[in-house]
Amino acid sequence: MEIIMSVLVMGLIAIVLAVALIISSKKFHVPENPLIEKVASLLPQANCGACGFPGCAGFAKAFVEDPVPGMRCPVASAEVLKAIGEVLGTSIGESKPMRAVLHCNGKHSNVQTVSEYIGVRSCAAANMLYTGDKACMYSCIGYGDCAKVCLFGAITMEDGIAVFDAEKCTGCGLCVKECPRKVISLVQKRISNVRVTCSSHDKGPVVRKNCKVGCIACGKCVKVCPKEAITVAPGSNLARIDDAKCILCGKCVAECDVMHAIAADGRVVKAVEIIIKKKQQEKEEKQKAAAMAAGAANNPAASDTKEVKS
Amino acid sequence: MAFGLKTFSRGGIHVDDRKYSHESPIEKLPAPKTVVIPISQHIGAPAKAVVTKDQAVKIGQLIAEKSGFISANVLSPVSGIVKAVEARMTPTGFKQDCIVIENDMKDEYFEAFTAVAPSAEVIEKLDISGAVKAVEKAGIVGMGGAAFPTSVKLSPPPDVKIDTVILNGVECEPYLTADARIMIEDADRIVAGLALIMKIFSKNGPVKGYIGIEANKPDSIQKMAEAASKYKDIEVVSLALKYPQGGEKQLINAIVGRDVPSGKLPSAVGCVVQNVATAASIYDAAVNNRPLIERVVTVTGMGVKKQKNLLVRFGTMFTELIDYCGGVTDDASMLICGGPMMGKALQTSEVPVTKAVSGILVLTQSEANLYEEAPCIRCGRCVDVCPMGLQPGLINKVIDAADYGRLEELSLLDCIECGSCNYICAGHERLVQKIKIGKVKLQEILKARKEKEAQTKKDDKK
Amino acid sequence: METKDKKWIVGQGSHIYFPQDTSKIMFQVILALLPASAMAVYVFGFDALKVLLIGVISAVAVEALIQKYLMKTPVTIGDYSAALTGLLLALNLPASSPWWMVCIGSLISIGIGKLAYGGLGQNPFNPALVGRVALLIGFPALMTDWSVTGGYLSELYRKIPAEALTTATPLGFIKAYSGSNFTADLVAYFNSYSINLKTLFIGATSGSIGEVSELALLLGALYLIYKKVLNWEIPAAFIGTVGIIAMAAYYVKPQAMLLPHYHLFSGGLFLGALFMATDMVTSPFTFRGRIVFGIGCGVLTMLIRLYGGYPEGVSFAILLMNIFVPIIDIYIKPKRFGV
Repeated sequence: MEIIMSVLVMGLIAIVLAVALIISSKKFHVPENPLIEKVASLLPQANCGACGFPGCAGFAKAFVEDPVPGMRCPVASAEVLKAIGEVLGTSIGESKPMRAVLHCNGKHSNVQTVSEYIGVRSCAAANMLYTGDKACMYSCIGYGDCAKVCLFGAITMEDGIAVFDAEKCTGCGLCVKECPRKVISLVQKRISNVRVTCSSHDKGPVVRKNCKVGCIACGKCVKVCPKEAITVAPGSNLARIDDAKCILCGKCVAECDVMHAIAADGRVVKAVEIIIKKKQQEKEEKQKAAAMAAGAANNPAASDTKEVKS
Repeated sequence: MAFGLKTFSRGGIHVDDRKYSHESPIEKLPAPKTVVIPISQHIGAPAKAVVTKDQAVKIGQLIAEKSGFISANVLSPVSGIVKAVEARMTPTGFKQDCIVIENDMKDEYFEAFTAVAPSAEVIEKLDISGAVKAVEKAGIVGMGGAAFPTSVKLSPPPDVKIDTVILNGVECEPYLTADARIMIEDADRIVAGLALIMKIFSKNGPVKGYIGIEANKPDSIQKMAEAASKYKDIEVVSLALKYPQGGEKQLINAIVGRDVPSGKLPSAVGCVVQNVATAASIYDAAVNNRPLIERVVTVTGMGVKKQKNLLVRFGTMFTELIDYCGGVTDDASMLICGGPMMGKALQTSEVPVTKAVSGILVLTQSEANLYEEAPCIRCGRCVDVCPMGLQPGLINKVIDAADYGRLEELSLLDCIECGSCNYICAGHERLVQKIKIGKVKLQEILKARKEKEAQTKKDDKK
Repeated sequence: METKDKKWIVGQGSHIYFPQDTSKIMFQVILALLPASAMAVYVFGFDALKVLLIGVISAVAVEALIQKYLMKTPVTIGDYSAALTGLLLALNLPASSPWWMVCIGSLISIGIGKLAYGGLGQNPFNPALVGRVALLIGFPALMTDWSVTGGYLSELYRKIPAEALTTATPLGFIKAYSGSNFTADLVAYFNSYSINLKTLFIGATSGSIGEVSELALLLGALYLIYKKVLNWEIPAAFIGTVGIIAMAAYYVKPQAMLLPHYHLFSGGLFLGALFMATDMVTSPFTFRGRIVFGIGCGVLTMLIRLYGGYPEGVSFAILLMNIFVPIIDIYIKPKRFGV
């Protein structure tokens, strides 16, 4: 008897709730554009929010219902965009794949440590408090706010600076927004990248005192660049490479041989090695020639050497 | 805790006051060879430098002019030659534009000044109309630590009626004794300054004056009461020992029992709070035409060899003050500008004394909080001690979860960053630092929302 | 050293701290539980000591092992929280508990009750109670075996009627015979019986190890309140509510109800109210929240005792109220300044 009663009671409750659910689902039904779901399913589904909307579904909704020119998913590949365009019956402007790079090489071994920081391990917190435990007040702070915010695991913290994995990076730009020192920027995703690994606006001598690998704005790279892609803005004390103009020749990297403030990755590294080797050879040859000339000049009159010197 | 003494009603902590330098009289430090004067020593818009390199200046000469309503003049504290106008490290922890002046040791004043001794008759006779202007000209800011331009405080909007002026002699921060010493050694000047402020506000009706002092300074209370007895409507209030009694809102609550509404200024409840040292300099500026060129700084903490109170010119390097006190001990580990609760930790002692520096504190390893953060065990002590009635522990969790939108309902912007929760935390969590991050993020959200609302309004109009 | 060249440590204020931190709090709670533990050993003999030691050691070992090999995080047994959980668990077990049951309890307490949620400060439920309730449901017979082999209590038992007390606590006894026709007789027997308030208070009733002596527990709690480790709000609200409900029930139906002091002093109420409900991690932040929490615990305890299937409801009541803590925290806010 008890069993029957309990079965009945539970069954009744189930029926009542089911009816309530059915009614409410009918009554409170919100008609939704079926296209939204289709678009959302094509998106990367990382919900990174780099587009400025709450997740991929939010982006899809905005994209279908109220598209604004220039709106884009920074992460989606060209094929995905094409597919979305097909669904909507329009064509979408292609977005170039980007990646994030760090403009600092302030590893603990390179930059002087001037104090010890105790407190919340967050770049934003430390930056609010003071100029950081590194001597350079423009450097990467190194507590990994960018790594925490990265949804693709592309950033690791090594020796006090952020290291970016070019493969994993999707160019969503969340880290660029998060960085309180603004030492991260987005560049084209190409076979390689050449960049100035310094953000210091300090004058040359100060940079030299603080850091082994800072840009002192000597301007050697500007001269060597065949495409005029490098500029030192007046008053900025810092060289910057225009990514759009850069042809990845690697000459500037080889030229910056004192402070090593220009870095390359990917295939250019090899090109740089070759350039440096060549330069060294040339130098050796010059030295040899000079030595030979000197050796030859030793015998004749002293007036000849004077001429060479002048 | 003595019973029957007034104090504020909500939260607060009882800290060991550690006033090591209370008994040491104020010593005058000789003016330094070079001074470094930041052009922004106050809250609000930075002043604009009006001197150039190699220009000769005299004491009290304007070297940076106030720009904007909330701003303050900066005067030269020495006579000499301007050596540079460049970015230097300041006690804010960052580099700021500073004017570097080489002292010629002649101590020539730019304008003549008088030396009228403070008394009730002097204030009675004084023509008050020029007082606020004189305060503005002398570049006086709040000397308790916040450095709010005093002239702005003394000229509230015409519809605001002030009936109470409170002098803040609480000095609730442990270690610091500068205000206590000024009250002992210069009580007459302070009380005259208070009478002067009261006179400024008395055109709209009678004004009552209070001087709040914590009960751990009986000698200060006695001296101030003696001085105050010569004036009418001035009362010295002895307060129970509790931090943060020196907070404006807490002090008003403790003395006159009024609660300043959330997001409002003390003037909303008819009160004005001034620091005791500020009151003294207001007297000097308004009566004697003396510029604000020096202040009393407490150099203390177990990290310095001798704890002292020093009268120093603005722009003197911290290093000089510390070395005058015998230098630092071997286990000194933190250098703090201000008190241990709300002071700012510095990474170098090569920063100048500014108008807001009330103390230089050198903490040893055993005194300073050098613990790494441990998990919150939800002991709830932070909630119990919060003088503003907030829930710091919950706020901390919300910030950890990056759920910044929720901070608004937790009324985060009410936080006065007194550090009580940080002090009491069983897990040594850096609550104030988290709250500061949260405030920035919340303000971003509020700003975005405001912009959006303005945008929709515009669209609606279209 | 030159002041100028000194390398300083930089952080955000406050730069000084209150010395009463997590490990000191935990250690003081353990200290406060020592009188109750000593009393337990006096009352139950060597059995109790054995359970207490196994409880503490196994809890610490479980925490260390899980953190080192499973979670691969720093081992935090230094903050005494694991030892405290083990001690509390042991105090909630009968003296006759076999060693393996105590170990299983520790494993559940620390492993599932605490570390699975992310460790200290993250657990929604009191870990010791999670362990105890799991054991109560898993081993109901062992967990209600109140047989005594040594100590003061076995001496006492020789003098009093065996059928009344050897196998059950007064609360359990009433519950077991509730509804039968001699409930009234039993109640009358207990209510007239010579176990007066004093005996109950100092500790001569059967029960879990820790709950025998309310006096010892109270001593420990007073020490903690003096040290500002314990809040008085929760125990006051909890015990007060239980007392009021027990009294009301007795006056409504005196022939079927135990005297209120049985409800107050014979079960696990004091242990629960003073040391389990007040666990900082699982109780509300605010003063008013703690009062609500205490009252809720009291009401649920009495509901379970009077109408539920178990004779004792303190553990369940606290665990159930633990669920409400986040809600209490959100809706019961402290009074803000200037609003």
